[in-house]
Amino acid sequence: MPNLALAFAAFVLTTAALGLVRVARGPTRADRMMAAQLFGSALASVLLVLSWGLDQPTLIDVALVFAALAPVTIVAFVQRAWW
Amino acid sequence: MSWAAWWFDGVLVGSLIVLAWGSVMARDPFTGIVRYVIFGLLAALTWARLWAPDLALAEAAIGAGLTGALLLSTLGRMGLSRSSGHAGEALVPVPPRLTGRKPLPLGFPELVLTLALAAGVAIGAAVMHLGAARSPGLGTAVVALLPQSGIESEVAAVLLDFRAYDTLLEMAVLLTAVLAIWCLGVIRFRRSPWRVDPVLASLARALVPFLLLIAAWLLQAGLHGPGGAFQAGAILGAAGVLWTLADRRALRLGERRSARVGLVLGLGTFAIGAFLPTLVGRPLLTWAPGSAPAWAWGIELAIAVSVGLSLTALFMGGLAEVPHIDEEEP
Amino acid sequence: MVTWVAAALIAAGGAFFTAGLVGLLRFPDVYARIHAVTKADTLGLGLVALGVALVQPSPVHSARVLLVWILAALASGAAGHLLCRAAWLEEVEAGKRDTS
Repeated sequence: MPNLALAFAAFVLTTAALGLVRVARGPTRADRMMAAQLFGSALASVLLVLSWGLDQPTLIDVALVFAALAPVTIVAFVQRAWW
Repeated sequence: MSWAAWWFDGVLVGSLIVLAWGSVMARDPFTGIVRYVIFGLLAALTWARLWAPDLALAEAAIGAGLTGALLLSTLGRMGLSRSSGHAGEALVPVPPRLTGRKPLPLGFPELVLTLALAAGVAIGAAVMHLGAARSPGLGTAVVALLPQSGIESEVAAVLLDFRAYDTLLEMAVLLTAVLAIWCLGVIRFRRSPWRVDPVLASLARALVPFLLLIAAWLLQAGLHGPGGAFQAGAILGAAGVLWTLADRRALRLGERRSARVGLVLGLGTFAIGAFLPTLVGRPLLTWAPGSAPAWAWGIELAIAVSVGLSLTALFMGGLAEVPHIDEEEP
Repeated sequence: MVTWVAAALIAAGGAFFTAGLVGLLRFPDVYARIHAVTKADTLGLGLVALGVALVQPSPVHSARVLLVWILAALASGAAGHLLCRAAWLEEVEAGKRDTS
């Protein structure tokens, strides 16, 4: 069980890590921020699956924090750092 | 360790190193900031992987929300080049060397990276060899003294009972930081050039109550498990940051009495609790037997409020002056 | 039995993340990329959350997991809109394949 959860987690983590290409390439700043947004959601789902696989319910709280605070960075970007 | 664990840890560690390198060596500051924010997210995951959920919560709250917002806000104020390549006008004078990269000797950064990696591997190998990774440190002593304190969570007991002195002084440091920032004077913010977005206003209105709920949940969870005052305070700080960003009126924390009271609430409550025992002849900062859980509860609440307001004040970066909506409407 | 359904949902969520990555890397312009990632955010995380919620010991725990999804859906939807609107007001061209 933990193995399966870790395998899924590793897969999603690899997927998100490949998104770093867009951070390097993306011509606009929005592209780079989107890669960070993808990372945030991917890590939240990784934490949810690990909370099940490793039997650690507190990771759900960490995922909650991730999901709730990811937009704050984007709002700061749009409001302050776009131009 | 299974192949899945190796894959996971490998990608995690590899990404951390790549992001750290990329963040420092990025060609433009914005890319560096984005990589740094992602690095913070991965750091939170690392803490979770290392079975340290309190740290993971704190890192998630601060790394995912506050750090990114702070750095991006700073970047905006420096007025560095936009994505289209034109330099904006800076609100503060920016030293020229920050806008261009001074070339380092060829290969120097790579050499530093190699040495750092080698040192990391060597230290890790030494730690594993000594078996230090499996030593509980002071953990057994804490567990032995836990019933005496009455607080259920080991972390909470250490922070608010056994080593309450540290936490008290941390609150003082935070308050000093806010005062120091306020000494910098009035801060001018450049408004976004387009009209306020109703979706942004709705997002703030919908999200902030959720954030308050999550903070309250973490606060009460902290007394018997992962969570606690600082994590809750960081969430409150993020809520304050979100509100500041979404509302064109500044929160004017420096001027409202309720905000000033809130900022000193943590340190004040803690200090009162620290000095109260001296009135009855006990040493400083000694809880009466059995009263530790009650004090912990009250102090955690006060600390969370103070930390939240302090982080918002630190993000605002000064005594804010944003023109009122009625003045600036075209 | 419930475990199998949950595992299927989680796997589907993982597939959406892959789709989001492919979109992020291969779509021609910034609007399309924002769209792809927002889908991955909401659906990927949503399916995973649904799967994990099914295997929780009590309904209260399941509600906590679903709260993660609700918050993420709220937040990433609004975030996608904010980014697209800012790009639009900056007059970033739509439909034109940009440099990468």
